[in-house]
Amino acid sequence: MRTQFTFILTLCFALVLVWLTSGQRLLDWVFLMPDVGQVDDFVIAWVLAAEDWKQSLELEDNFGQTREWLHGILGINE
Amino acid sequence: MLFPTLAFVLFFVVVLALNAAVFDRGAWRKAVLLTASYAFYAAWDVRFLALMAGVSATAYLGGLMVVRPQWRRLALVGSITVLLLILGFFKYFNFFALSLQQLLEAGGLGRDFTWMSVILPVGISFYIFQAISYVVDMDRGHVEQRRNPIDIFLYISFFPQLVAGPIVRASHFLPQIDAPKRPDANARAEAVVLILVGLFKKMVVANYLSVLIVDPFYALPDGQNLFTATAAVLAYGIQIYCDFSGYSDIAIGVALLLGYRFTRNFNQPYRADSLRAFWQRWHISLSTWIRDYLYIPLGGNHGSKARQMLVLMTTMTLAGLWHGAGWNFLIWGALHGAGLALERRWALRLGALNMVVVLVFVMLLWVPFRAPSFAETLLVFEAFTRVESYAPLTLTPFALVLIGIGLAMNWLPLSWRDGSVRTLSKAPVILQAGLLALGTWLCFAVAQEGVAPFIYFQF
Repeated sequence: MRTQFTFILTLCFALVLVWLTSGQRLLDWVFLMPDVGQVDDFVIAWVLAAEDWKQSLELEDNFGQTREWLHGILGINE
Repeated sequence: MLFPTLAFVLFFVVVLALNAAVFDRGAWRKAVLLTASYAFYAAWDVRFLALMAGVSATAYLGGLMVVRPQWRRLALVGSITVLLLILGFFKYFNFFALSLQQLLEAGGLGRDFTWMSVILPVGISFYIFQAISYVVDMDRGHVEQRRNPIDIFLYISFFPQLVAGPIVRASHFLPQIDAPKRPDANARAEAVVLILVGLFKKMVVANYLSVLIVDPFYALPDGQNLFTATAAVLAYGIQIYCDFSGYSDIAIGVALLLGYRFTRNFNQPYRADSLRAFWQRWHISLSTWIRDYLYIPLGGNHGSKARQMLVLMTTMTLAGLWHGAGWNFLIWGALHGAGLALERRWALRLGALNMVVVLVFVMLLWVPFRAPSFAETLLVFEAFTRVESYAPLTLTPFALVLIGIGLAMNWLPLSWRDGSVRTLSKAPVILQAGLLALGTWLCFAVAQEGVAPFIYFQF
């Protein structure tokens, strides 16, 4: 049971790391979700606070850079 | 919600955590998975939740009544009829409405039926097939009766296999609902490998082959020649394999992380040395479903050789029509049926060349499957007769490498995959999760912008 939780926690940590070091905005995904009234407001408020915090860290978009580099070496034109 | 999206990754991590938290509490575990499955389906279209619940209720009631001798026949015929009518309505209504409109127009009685167009609910075939198999298996005594409707509702809607299979049998899945196996190091390693291989097949190989070769080719088949037609036909064969088997790999991996094991759905189908072997390796859960619930009830291997061949032809033609109402699917199914029937009478005895003959036959039959109409199918085959053409595709090195990778995935020994699972199973759990995250991240980075739906969602 403990290993299962370690596995899940590592995945969660990796997700946060990916979100922090990429240009992906959780807010865009939240707005795509079905409108569920007050729950929506609660989630959006939390996500907005998180996005503000991420902005304040001024981290680079590593995902975008990796993507550009990979597409460059593979000769893929978007 | 599609597997290769960040939305699904977020959804899955939450479900994985909740499932792990209530893993030892049967009722809670079922409630979590059922809620997650309905939320997963609602992300497409909340209106069809009632349809899925209705199908599940039909299967549940059918299963309850079919074991009572006085109700047996009525329950069996009644529930299968209701399920097939639902499937038929959603799959074929538009075709018949359009045909009626054309017929009336030809007779000078123009009527516009386009306002009556029906949306095809995603995955309807798959969950209806599971519902039918549950009722039939109850009747055959292959499954123990379930009094708790949640078991049946979860069996029909379990989100990893909900929209494109694998079609899981009740006899295989229901016992697991009561006692799923907490994923051990081996299961986790297998799941990580399956999910990463599946993502790579879908997001990299299938999607790029579609964009770089298949779609441009089928947009202008009359401008192509022998070389580009060969590349495009091969590319589509690999695209559909990587798309569909990639989805199945992810589904099996996701289920495994939740504690449920599905059976394998693809087994290197292009290595088959006969058509029969191909169908034993391609979309195995559907092939065996068709065998058990259509081919055998129609007569199967009983009777004369001619009768067996006729049953094979009929079964495969119906399987073709299941993909959609249209000449192309009919031709695809009928020709596969004819091939299987002829093979039963005259088996191929060409040694190693058997594989080549089967591969060419299967690849060429993907043409009517992919082409939007019969006229376009003919245009594709015409391209094989030309060496010069006015607008041939540009085949980039990357696209050709993808064809090579796609083919290699069919021929590389399975022991390689098993070996990587064994190695990963010995790694620390943090490394397993880290590899899953890193691999997913890389697949997303290589993939194109946007999300291409899976080919089999339309069926």
